[in-house]
Amino acid sequence: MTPAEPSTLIASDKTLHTQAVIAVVGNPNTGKSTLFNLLTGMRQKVANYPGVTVEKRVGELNIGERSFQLIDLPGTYSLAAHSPDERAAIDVLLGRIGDIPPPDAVLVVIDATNIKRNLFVATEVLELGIPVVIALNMLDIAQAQHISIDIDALAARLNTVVIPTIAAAKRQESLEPLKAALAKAVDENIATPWVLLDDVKRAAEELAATINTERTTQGAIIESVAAYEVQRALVDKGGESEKHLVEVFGDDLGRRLQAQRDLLTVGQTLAERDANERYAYITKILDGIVRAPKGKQQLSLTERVDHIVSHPIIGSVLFVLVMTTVFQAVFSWATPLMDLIDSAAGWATEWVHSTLPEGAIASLLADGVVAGVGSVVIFLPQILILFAFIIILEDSGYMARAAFLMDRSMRWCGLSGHSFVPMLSSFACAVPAIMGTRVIPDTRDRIATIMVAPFMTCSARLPVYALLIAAFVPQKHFFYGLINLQGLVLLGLYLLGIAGGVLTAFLLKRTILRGSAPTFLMELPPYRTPHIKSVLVRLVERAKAFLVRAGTVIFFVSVVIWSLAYFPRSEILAADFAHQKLAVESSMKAGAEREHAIAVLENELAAAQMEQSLLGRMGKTIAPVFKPLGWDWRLSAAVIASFPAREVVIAVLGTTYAVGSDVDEEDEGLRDRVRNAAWPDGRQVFTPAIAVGLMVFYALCLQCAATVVIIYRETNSWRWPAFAWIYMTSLGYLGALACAQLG
Amino acid sequence: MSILQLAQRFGFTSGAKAARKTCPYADDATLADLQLGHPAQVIGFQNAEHPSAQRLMQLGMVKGEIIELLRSAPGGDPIEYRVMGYNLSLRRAEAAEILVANQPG
Repeated sequence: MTPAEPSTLIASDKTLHTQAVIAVVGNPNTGKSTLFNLLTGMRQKVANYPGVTVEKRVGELNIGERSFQLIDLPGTYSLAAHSPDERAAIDVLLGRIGDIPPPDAVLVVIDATNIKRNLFVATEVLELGIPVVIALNMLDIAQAQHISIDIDALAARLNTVVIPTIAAAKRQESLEPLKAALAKAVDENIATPWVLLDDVKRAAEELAATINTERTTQGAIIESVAAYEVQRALVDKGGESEKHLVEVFGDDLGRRLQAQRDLLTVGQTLAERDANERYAYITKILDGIVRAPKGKQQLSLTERVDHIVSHPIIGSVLFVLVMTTVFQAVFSWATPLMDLIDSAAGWATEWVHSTLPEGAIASLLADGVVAGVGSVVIFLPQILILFAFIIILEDSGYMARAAFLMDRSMRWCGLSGHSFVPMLSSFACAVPAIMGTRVIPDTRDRIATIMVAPFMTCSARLPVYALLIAAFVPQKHFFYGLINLQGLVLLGLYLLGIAGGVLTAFLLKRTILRGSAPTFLMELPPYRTPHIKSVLVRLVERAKAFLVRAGTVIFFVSVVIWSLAYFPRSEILAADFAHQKLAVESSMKAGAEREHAIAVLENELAAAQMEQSLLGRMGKTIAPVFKPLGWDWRLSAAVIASFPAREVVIAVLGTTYAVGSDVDEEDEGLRDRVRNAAWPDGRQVFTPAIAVGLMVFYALCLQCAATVVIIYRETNSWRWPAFAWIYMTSLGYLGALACAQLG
Repeated sequence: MSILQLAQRFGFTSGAKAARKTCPYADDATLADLQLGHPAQVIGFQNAEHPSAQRLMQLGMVKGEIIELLRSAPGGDPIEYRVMGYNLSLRRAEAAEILVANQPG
């Protein structure tokens, strides 16, 4: 640490009170987040708002000697909230998030190529009475489109500060005027009072005052009510503000709100009046200030590209090509890196065994720590490549076109086009797919998609399928060798996963995730070149989230599984083994044959130790539960051990069937042992029905600690990962049971 | 011949230059009835209390705004429109909530 450490405690305590807070508000696709990343660099923290799935992005902005706290609010077209996720913006602005003080100023980012719609939320912020600085972003793009804007006149008419910024600001100096304006806004603390609907505002203030007096006379400790919250409740009928107020103050307040609404409604609803009059005001403000080329305009680049990309036929073909490229890249680029990580882990294991004396510590390091860390890191290449593609597709504007093309095909299972790319990504790995569901604006759709993702056949299921298919499905060919039975079974397992996922979405969207009328209001933003720095910032953040959150849990679970499989060690077995080894060494000549005999003995010892280990005992204890599925204790133990990571089943089966733990799915010995495994009475364990049942179990089960942790992180509650785990495990059990009983 | 011209020849453009007929829309027309090359003016909602109505108005579907049809996805749904100078996609059912009339003049 730096020598300044003793004083940092005091300093941070001081800044806690003096550091000014600036909230960043704006429409989606305005370059708001890019601007935020440029202002704060890597000095940012990402967390979730309490109880909702939106991310809270807080960064530090340094202006000269001073430091400000910058909060990037989720992109929004209006402060009206109709879902808990949309509340985040208004909650921050009203200072209702526990650890964030009410903002001292608001930076509103507006897109110069689309001022009219962008000013909608800007004027809503002006009503709050907080100092506002407007960043007129993408000015370079507007100029390229020959849109001219009289910035001084705009600032004068809005009675606020307007600073021009450009989309691809590469140099920090170009942000200096914006930084200076923000510092000045905080220091001067002058808010421009602005009112759109006089009568609504007055009614809201009166009602808020009444509620607040009642609250104090009742002596109850309830939060005070902001007039703006009441105003939102009046305008956004059935929205989050109304729900929140009714929840805190009771149904009576709901009736009073409706009574006020009836008084204020003349001909059109308050929401209608608010939107109509706001746009009328904005039109008046912009009159003579914004000049766009009139008459026959040249088609913009976006229009020209969209003639092809969004074309029903050509666009669909292109979409298939893009997705194929992404998957090719994920599998072919990631494979060498994954092999590298795999061999590094193998090398580390060998190194541990050769340097440390045999015993618990060496085994913990090699089979617990190295294997545990390896099982996390091995997915990093796939996750990073897939994520880089998702971010680039999103930032370039293509993701919206993909959602547009795929919407209809997703609709019948209750989802929208937004879910398509995340669902497709889960065929590589559910972890980046679940992180990628952030592109889905509707919370219910997003959670349904998260629940579907773990069903898709990810790359970790493949080795398990490969082993089971090779061992139990005969090499049969049909149609003159064109169709192979093993391939057919693999296809069936893929389809089973898809069917399970689709059925889950269908059921969830009709039960616990049923929402109001399904909507698909989506802006198709202009195509833009992704900003490399912004892409990298997010990529690093995702990688960190995966390694830290998933890594720690998987590491912990791996060590637990290792201890279960290692302890207790039987001294009698070890002594017996040493005795037999001596016998072999004295009776046989040194050479390959003796080595082999010793290896067989070693594997038998490992199997015997495993049988009396905690894991083996657990397998035996739980075996009755799996008995109806036709599983013996060995298989039960292997299944238990593979809940943190499904591919572990191969190594555990290798140990329990005494062929060693360093086997892979191609291993002939393991295949034969598994095929010939028998019950004590000599019956075969793996009949075809039981084998198929086992495959069905692995297809439907959530055996991946990383996915469980990422579901927790993305939904911000243990409810959904718990639901997913219990639901999928039950489904897997029932599937395997059906196979065993019917077969 | 440019790619654009080629595209036009094979019918892959928005048809903005299609022949302009007057008054193509009936009195009860909605956004879902919009035809290529015939922008229309928003006059209101079938039901102003519709759950999506407020969001649609905030996105620019307010009285007097001129809306142009750009294209539709495979199967004719969803539909992409040009509103207030940007592109917005709506499902057909949502578009049918918005009443339109012929452009003035």
